[in-house]
Amino acid sequence: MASSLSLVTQIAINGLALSAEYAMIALGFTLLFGILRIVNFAHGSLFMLGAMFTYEFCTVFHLPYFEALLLGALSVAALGLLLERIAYRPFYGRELQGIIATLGLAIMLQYAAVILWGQQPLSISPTPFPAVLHIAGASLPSGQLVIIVIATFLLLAFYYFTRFTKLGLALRVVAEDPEIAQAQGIHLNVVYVATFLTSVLLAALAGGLIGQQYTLTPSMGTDALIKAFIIVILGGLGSVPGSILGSVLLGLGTSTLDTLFGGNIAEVTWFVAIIVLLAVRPSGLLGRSHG
Amino acid sequence: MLNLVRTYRLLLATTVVVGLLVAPLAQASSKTAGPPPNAPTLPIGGVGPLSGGGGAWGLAVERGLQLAIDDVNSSGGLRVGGTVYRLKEVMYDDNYTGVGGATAATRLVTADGAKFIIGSIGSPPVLGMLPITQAHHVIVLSDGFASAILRKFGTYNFRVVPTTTEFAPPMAKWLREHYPAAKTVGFISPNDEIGQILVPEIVKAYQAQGFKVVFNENYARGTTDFTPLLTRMMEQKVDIFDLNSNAPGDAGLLVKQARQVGYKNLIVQTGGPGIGQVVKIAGPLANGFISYDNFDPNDVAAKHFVAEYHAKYQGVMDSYTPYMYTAAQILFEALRRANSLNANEVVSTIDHMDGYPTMFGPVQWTGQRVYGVKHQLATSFYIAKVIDGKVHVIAKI
Amino acid sequence: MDNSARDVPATSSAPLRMRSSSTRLILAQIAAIAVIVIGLLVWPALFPQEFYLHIAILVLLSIIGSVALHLVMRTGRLSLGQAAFCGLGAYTSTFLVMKVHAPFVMGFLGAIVVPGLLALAIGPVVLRLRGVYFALITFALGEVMQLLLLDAQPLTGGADGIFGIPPPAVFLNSPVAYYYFALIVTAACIGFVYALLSSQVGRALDAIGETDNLAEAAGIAASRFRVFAFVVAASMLGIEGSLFAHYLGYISPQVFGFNASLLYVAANVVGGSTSLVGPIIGSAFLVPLPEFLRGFVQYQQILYGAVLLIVVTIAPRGLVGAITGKMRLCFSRRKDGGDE
Repeated sequence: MASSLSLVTQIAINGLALSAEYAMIALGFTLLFGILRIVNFAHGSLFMLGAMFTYEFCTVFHLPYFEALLLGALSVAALGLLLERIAYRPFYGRELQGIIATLGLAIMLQYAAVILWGQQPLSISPTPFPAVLHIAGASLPSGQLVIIVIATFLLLAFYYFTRFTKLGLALRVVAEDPEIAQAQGIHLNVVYVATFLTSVLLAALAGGLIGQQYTLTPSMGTDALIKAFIIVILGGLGSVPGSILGSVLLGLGTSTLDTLFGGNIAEVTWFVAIIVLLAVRPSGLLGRSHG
Repeated sequence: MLNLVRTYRLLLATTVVVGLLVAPLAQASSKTAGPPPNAPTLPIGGVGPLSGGGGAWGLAVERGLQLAIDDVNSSGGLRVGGTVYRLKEVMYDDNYTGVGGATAATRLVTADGAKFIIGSIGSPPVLGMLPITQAHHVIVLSDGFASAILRKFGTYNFRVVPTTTEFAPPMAKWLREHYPAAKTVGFISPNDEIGQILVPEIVKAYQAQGFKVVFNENYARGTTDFTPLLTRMMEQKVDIFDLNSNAPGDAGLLVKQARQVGYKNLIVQTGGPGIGQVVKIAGPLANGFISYDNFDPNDVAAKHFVAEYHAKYQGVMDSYTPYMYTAAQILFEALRRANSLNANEVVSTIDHMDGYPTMFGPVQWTGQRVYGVKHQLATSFYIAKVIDGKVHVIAKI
Repeated sequence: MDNSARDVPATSSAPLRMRSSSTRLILAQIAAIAVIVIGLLVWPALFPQEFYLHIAILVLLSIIGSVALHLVMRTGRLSLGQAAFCGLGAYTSTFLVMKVHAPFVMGFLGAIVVPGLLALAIGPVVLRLRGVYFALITFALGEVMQLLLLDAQPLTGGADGIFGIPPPAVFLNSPVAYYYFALIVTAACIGFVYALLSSQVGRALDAIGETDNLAEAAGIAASRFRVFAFVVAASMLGIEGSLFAHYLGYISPQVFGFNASLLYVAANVVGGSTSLVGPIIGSAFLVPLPEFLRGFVQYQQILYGAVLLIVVTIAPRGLVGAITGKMRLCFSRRKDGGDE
């Protein structure tokens, strides 16, 4: 029924939107691992809280969407600072215990959200972006365009930050070698807190942005976390370009496979693909091999 | 630095201890002035998924049962065999797994002494519960969709929600009558019980009415972006897009995204019901959506129940709540009529309760032909349509 | 205090005193073990209700899995996908007994062999990875297995699973009997791992776990030992799966996912990952924990998460570390020859 061009365009558009969403989820996750060596099992919960807080500001406080988004992300970041003291700082350098701690935290946050918001799916309605654009016979909901634009902006901002600001440069040095960084006079603690904050902010923003386009439930964090896992495996843990590459691969790949072959095959394919990739090239496509 | 760490640890520990002490107070059940103060307590078990996959349904069991218990307690308690009992709900989470259902049932039956259980919802926990409740002759009013639940474990077990097997054929017939030009049907469903077991039933119902199923795809549970699959569906010429038993949240997204991708034909849900959620999620894109619905919101008894619910609880009411409430009502009435707590007598009483009025209409037990036991509750149902953003009941079946 | 002056001179008494305090420590440990063993044997008499037997059986089965993971962790690898082997064992055993109509013994053996073979096939490839990478790949493997169990509907019953699984023998239909059966199998598994870890093989495994880089330099031998541990662990998890399936009578894919794998990890971390006692205590603590939190209905999960966080914060070397630390403190004070 649809012409080949419009089908391909639709696949590409769907893929781009998915990639943008995944990139935002994965970036914060890989950042935390690259610099702090923390596998943050609560990353999905922070993503979910970003969505919930945005929802709350939108529907209960009746704020316009972008203000609600910003306020929501900042609230989660503030919460994150508190959580860092309790559930992260005691476990720097202690990976195993850190896994259990962030896991316990994730469970607590998810079920606290259940008590506060219930388990029924919520939606930000009326939707802030009702228009649907049509490009070459394919359709793109404006809400997804917003996600794509903001995600791109955030990635560019992050790139600028790490290349051209003092703190950003410090971040990169610490990621390479913390000892040299310290020897050069960089305050590790400042870098750590900055990294943590950035990670939480990115997760919360991702949640708030994605929340406007889909539904919100306390369990939405789990899927986000699994996607983050897949992406950082693909792209390489701790590599920012890697997680962007991984997001694009996963996004476009999902769009293509789902549209051409249906849902079941795609899912198993992904896990088999990353198993093969890990076996052949453990540090991911762009990651550096760590000791 | 060390002191700071220790302080925070202490703070955390204190918070949890305080929480452990305070939480039970927050949970205090309402003690109404109904039954006499020294009335013995009769525990009524509730099992449902409060965590894990089926999370929203656990509250349907907990709250539906509690409301029914409140009704009884506030009117003097339950009189059975010369004793007046105060009813008490004992609710356990089954985590939507078989072992969770088994643990909850074992604890209720062998440690708490419960002889009657409402729940669970969903096949895995129910299949986990039933071997234990069957062995101990405990009466269960549940809602697991697998047909084996009645065929193999039907003696003390009643299914209190109509399943796809019951309502899909009449709905397909209605569609055939009202949309004579429609020829093809498409399905999108999650890759679990719904997609594997329920959709084939609906497919059969459609095919029996002469429809051709041209699209039937699954997605992974947790997916929220269905545009790739919908794009794939648009490649087929689909006249009726059926949302089958998709959860209300997913159904809403499917409707919204289908319209956004440019699907113009009929969207129907032979399942749910989740029509309220669909309207909320899809907004104006939901217009024209047709769905199975379980009660007429204008019905007096239904209205009363909804009001009772919102007087006591916050949040959206899950659509299984009225069924669990009704199940409990049926159970309590049976206990009154049987005038005994003996399992066999109560089962026999329930069997003969056809005609007892509930908010879904009079009780009607069916299932002899399909399951070998008449323990499936049959209720009339409705077909609703979204017109101009509002839900209208357009047919009763 | 005055005794010290009349005592035998310090140099010769000190070793005696030290020996007596460590003897006391050992005696205390033996006493503790004896109490536990006797308690386990008479448990059904103390707590006859089916519910307590049910929990005890679940704890025992979980211990098998936690101990299996412990073996892998000793070689310096953390696996987040062990539940895959448990599920494979459960479905294999079920399939053999119900579809092929083989006796339970065959099902049990199948549950040992099939996961073991899988581990043997993928182990050499997968175990080359270290640290987080190994954890992630095992996570992915766990997800794939769960998906396969879900998708292979004709074979596995799909989402609804398989019900009506018979017990291993007619006399094992009662909870009490199954409890002793599980106790025997679990004890055998623990004994096997203990013997393994105490032997030369065990020392080799520990060496591999300690010094990853050096061991790598030694080459093939290290990876062979690792694969060996991985295969043994997979087979043990298969045993757990088989016993689980034939006890509950019903299995479905939900139970064999990431949450189950995490429970084994949690048992090791919360219990303590340096000694074999750790995962045993960890499972014994974590499996019944939700039952104590039942009264809180909706808060149950929050409290569960809080307990995980708190235990790992205040007892970083696990409960075992905390307990032995306290015990050493208690008994080493005597060494000073008097109270403070």
